[in-house]
Amino acid sequence: MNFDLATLAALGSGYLLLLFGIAWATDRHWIPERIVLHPLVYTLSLGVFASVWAYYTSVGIAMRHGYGYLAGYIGISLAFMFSPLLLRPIRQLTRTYQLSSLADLIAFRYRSRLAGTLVTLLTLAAVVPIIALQIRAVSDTAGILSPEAPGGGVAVVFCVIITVFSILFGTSQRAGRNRHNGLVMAIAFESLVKLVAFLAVGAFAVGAGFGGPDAMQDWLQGRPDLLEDLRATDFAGSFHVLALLFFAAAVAMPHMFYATFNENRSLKALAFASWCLPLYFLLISLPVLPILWAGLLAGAEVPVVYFPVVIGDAWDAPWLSLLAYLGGLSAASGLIIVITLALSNMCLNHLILPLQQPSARDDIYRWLLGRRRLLITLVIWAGFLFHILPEKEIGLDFITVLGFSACLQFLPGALAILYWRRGNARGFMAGLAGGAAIWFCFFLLPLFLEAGPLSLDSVAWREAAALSLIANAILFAVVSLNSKTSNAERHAAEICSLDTLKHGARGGLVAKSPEEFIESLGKPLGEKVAGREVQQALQDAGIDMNDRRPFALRLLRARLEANLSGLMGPSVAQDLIDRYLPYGVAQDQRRSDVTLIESRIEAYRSNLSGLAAELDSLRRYHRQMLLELPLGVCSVSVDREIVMWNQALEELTGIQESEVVGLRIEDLDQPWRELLMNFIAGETDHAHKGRFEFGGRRRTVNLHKALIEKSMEADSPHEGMIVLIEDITETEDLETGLAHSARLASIGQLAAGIAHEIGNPITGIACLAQTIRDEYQDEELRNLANQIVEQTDRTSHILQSLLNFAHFGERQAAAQQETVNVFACMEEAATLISLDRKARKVELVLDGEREAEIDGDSQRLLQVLVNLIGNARDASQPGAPVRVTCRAGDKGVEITVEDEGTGISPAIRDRIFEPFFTTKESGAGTGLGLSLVYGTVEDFKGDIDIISPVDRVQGCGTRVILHFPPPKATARI
Amino acid sequence: MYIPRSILILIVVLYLLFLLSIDWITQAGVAWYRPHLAALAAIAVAALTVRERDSDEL
Repeated sequence: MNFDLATLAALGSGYLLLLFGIAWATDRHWIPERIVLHPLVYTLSLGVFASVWAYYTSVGIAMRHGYGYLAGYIGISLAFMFSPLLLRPIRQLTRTYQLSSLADLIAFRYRSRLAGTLVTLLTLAAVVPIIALQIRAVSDTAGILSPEAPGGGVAVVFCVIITVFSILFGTSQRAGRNRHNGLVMAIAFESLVKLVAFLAVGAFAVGAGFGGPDAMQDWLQGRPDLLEDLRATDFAGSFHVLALLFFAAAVAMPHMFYATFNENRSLKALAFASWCLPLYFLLISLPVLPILWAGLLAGAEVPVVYFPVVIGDAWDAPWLSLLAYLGGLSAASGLIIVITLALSNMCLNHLILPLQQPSARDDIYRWLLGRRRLLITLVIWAGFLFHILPEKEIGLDFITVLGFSACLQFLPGALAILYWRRGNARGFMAGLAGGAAIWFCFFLLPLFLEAGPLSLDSVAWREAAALSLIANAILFAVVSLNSKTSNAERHAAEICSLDTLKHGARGGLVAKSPEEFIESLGKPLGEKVAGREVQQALQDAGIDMNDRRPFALRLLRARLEANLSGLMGPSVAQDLIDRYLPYGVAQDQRRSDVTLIESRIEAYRSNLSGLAAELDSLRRYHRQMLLELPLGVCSVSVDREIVMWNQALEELTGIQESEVVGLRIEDLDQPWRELLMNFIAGETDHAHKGRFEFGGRRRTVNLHKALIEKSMEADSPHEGMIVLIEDITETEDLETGLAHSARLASIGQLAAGIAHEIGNPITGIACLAQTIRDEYQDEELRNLANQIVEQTDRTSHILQSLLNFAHFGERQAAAQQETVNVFACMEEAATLISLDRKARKVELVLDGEREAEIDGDSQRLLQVLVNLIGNARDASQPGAPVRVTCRAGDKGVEITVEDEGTGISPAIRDRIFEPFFTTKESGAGTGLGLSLVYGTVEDFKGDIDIISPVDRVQGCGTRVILHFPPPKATARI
Repeated sequence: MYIPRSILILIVVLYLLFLLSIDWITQAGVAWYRPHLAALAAIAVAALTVRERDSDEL
């Protein structure tokens, strides 16, 4: 083969530029979002794992270990197929706490900066050889296609281009917060290219190389040695170990951690990848054996691992060789870009930031970006150095296993994050140190000590990898069980553990508002950055800038820590938050935050099944009972934070649950603050008829309280308090009205009795006065007698009214039902009114339909009209009009009495129908008139409306409207 | 989080099946891609499981 080096360079550069273009177009939203966000794109981006080991190394492993080459594919596939066990919970943790790498996760869980640093260093040691492997594959294949190409020169050019590309795309946005859609799209495209290229080579090998599948099978039957190699796979030993190495890589390898968790958009995408990614690996593993056999058939004089690039040339298809080269280049470049991005974040968070942090004067984002770019460059060129420095020949398979077995050491620690709460930082570091030491002796030292070429056959890799893992796990367990675990670590273990939701802890923060958060964080970060971060955290947590609830502030603090963790790593973020946003008092880790736990259970509800789901349903049932109880329920924690505020209380107070939960009692509005604080502080458990003013109205409530017994820890007296607030305002109003009515009834009976008793002597006085008037001629005496007669008439009239009212119920039964002409009654009433010479003169206007009729008693209707017109007259100025109208319609008859007088004040409006209530001067009115009107109208099945004032501008005038049903004769018609 | 018991059972069953099927997969005179067919069946089962979980969890 002799391709022009310039062709290869142009092909490589053009391909990388195409990737650049795809990423650029994606970031500018030129590619539809439904494509960019499709789970298939995410799955293909995870195909970055199938790097040079899948493209080249697997052919070499297939040559020596037969089906053993499948172990790697099976290992990584199993990790995804069982993602609910490992990947999904880790994804939840990384998303919640903004953890961008395994080192972040380890440092967060074990609350140890040193643990994070150790993980980073070992990852660095594992990844640099893997980067070197990619560079070597690109360099070697370029050398095969273009023998005159200087190996070192190709590697340098490749490293320069890949460095530029990694810097341009990986660091254009802030890591840990935004998804890099452009990068994901480009990597997905790369995965697609290498899959298509590899399948094309495989199909070509079968079709053109052997002449078809049957021919290949025939050829294979003629090579029993190859069939024997296939069957001689060490399934019990190396197959298992290799599968385990690749299984662990799903979490432990930085590029997989980055692609799986940081660029994941939804659980749905991860679920999709759990079967689609294994399918991808199945497809990419399919051509391995045909390519191997075709290479053997062709007698290719290149290392077996590079058979994919020589198949095309062997059967005069140089384009296929170029395509295969492009696929290899794609596999190598994709891995380098992602792995260096991930590693630069790890190094920054766990090697640089613990030693040097930006000052408040620096632009922290620019500072971080600059260092991240520098780290990307350093990591790529460290790989380059590893590629050129060893002079001996090192097999690609050895380098692959070297890197993967280093990352295997993180598996015990990663599993313990989810499944073993007793594991602690000391145990983890001891296990890691033990495992890493064995790895160093068996894998790294031979690089320097072994004289001959290094391959998997020359070292006991299987035993070494297994031994390192066993030693690691044993040391981890033994040291963890025999060393003390800090409170912070125990708390972090609970957060990460799968079987607990007891995450929250109470405590009041020193900073009492988001503004104070900015002020406090401004000291280390600068006011501008602090403001931006607090705003972002407020937005993420859905909290308002004016929210001062302790619960909301604790959420804000947790969100800020998570966001800063994405920016600067969990160790630095935790230090910053603990130092600048401390709790006011030592927080009690055992006292759980019920509100937080509830919100988490609600968010987590769909994951519950079986007994847990039943218990959750029971919890919701009891909670709903309290919420919908027609009695105000307020639950208060020990530190006086409101935990529950039910619907009845919302209606009573006008304060919504969402506004008040998490608030302290002291922060409530008046009058509730004083009411609840006094009651909670008081010694009695029940307070009756507490009165206060609210909303311009007097309110009366009964209060009851009970302590909530502590269910878990016996050393704490109680869990809080529940307060019941019973609104008895309406009941008390009814009681008052009832008492008033009873009092009035007794007065009425008394008055009727007195009236009856007074009636007789008054009649006697009247008779005597009439006798004097008629019998004596003395004019003066006759006048006096006349006045006595008038006064006794008036007294009799008052007494008669009183008796009428008192005997109202008796007369009601005897009342006659007749058809009454309304207008005739109006005229008669007007006549009666006009007879009172001493009364004020007004202009009485009668109007309406003369035929209007109702069912009732004409005398009682007359009484009603006289009372209403009399009242209107008394309220009017002399000469003012009083209009009396009647209208008949389908719905009945409407009689209106309207004046332009002083009107009825709102204060007495509700009382004017009460018996004995009058605004007239003493002696001028009995206070029974409107009561009689009300009773009569009700008897006639009518109703009464009063509009006052009629003229809202001047505030004068009253309109009394009486509605009566149509007479039955008419209604029947 | 609750780990579905079905997944734990599936792991054990798959591992046992894997051990039992090694001889069947690698026996002489059969198609070289038989392991791939077995893997395809396992992937199909995984896809079905995910679809079922999709409906009530995700």
